[in-house]
Amino acid sequence: MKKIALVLFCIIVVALSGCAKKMVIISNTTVSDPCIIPSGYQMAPAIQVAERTLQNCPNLLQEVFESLIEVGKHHPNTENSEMIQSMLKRLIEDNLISRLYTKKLYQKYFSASFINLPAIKVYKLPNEVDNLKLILKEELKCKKIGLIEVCGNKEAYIKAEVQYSRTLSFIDNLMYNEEHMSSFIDSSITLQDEMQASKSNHEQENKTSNNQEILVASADSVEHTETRSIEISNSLDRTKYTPEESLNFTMFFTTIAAITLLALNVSGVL
Amino acid sequence: MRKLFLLGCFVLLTSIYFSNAIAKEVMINPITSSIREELKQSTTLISKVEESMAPKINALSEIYTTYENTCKDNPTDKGCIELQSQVADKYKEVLETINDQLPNVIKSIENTSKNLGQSIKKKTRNKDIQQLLTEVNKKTRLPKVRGPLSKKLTELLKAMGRPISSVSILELSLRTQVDLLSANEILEYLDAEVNRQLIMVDMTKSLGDLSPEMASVMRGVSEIFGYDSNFEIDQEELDQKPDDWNN
Repeated sequence: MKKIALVLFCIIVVALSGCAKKMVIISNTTVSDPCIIPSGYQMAPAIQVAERTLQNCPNLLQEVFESLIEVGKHHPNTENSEMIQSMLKRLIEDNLISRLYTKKLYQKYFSASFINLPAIKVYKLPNEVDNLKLILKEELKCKKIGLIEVCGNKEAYIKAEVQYSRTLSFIDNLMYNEEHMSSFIDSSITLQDEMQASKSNHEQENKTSNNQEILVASADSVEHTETRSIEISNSLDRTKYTPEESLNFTMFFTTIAAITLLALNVSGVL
Repeated sequence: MRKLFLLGCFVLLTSIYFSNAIAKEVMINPITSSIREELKQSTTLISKVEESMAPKINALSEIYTTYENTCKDNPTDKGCIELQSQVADKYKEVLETINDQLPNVIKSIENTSKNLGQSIKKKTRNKDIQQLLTEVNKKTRLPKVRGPLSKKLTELLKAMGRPISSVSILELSLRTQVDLLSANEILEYLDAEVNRQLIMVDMTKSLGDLSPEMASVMRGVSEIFGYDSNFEIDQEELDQKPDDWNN
């Protein structure tokens, strides 16, 4: 009778421990967010947060970069862009973010040059010119934010404006010539050029498909890097356990306790 | 012997330096040898026309300025009537000179701009705009050239004559091409207007004042050939509406 009572007691303990495990899930166990978007008024601490975030969540590069620009606006200085650039270079060295994409993003705001235009052939320019001018105008706005509001560097922004007007003038002149010459095109030249254009289009298509493959590969690599960084982060931060891990621990120890009690009881100690 | 050896070394090093520099030069150059020759011929022709017309334009400008300064309030004065006649005569003389010379200039500019434009188009149409802009932006900005068309053409010829140009030949060619096209548009207007004015000039001989049409011809000629002449029409006169009862 006593044994039965003990067995029942053990079952109840195990059952209760199961309930207790559920309580762990409900409890407000706080786990720190590994992907915090930096904010505040000082660039140095914001850079630290940004770097930690991008190590864990490299896919948040755009948001983190924009938030750093917002932080930089509070104290315009050329050091702001230098700090951002150094951080980005460290992350590139660690293979966490794409060099090409990051460089483009940085130059869009902090370089006086317009070197991120879409790949448009001149013969397609008449259809694309409005879009191209819009892209240039948008980039000039970004440069105004980066060079003046974040870096306080008016000279560099004036250079950007000069290059903007030079680029527009070049495009306009090219268009003006295209329009006037369209009536004079020699048929032989046209045929030859069309053939060349179709050949280059074909090459471009091949190149695009190759690029797509590279993009897929790089996306896989980014995903892999992300997983790896989470694993590293977990292994470094062992004082914190996920709710599932806590549940498993509680179940394990309660079962051991119940079995010990049962064994002691069977052996006649209790 | 030693001097000869040193001289040889110097020549060798200089040639290596320049060959490297030329190799790094922008590859897109729309100026072929035939276009260069045409540019030279056009520049020479336009310069000659500028020079031959300059005394006549200046004389007309002087008489017109004198008339404007002294006869505006007293047009019936004997001297002023004489000046009116001189203005009309000089204007007719200028028109006849323009009428003689303009067709050759138009033909020359038309041919040059057609060949230059086609060459630019042929050499750029399959290029990426980013690639062109990168090449252009590597070079210094084009100098601002104000003045006669011959001066603008000379700027391109000067750049072509240098082994290494600090400016982009493509950018300069394109700007020169736009100058040529604009000049051609103005010259075509002038050609049509000069023919009309030659008929009209005898009718307006006694008026003395330059009509807005006459002034626009003179301004067009001055702009293309770079004359520093004043053929402005009083803006108030132009602003007056024909049916304005306050006048």
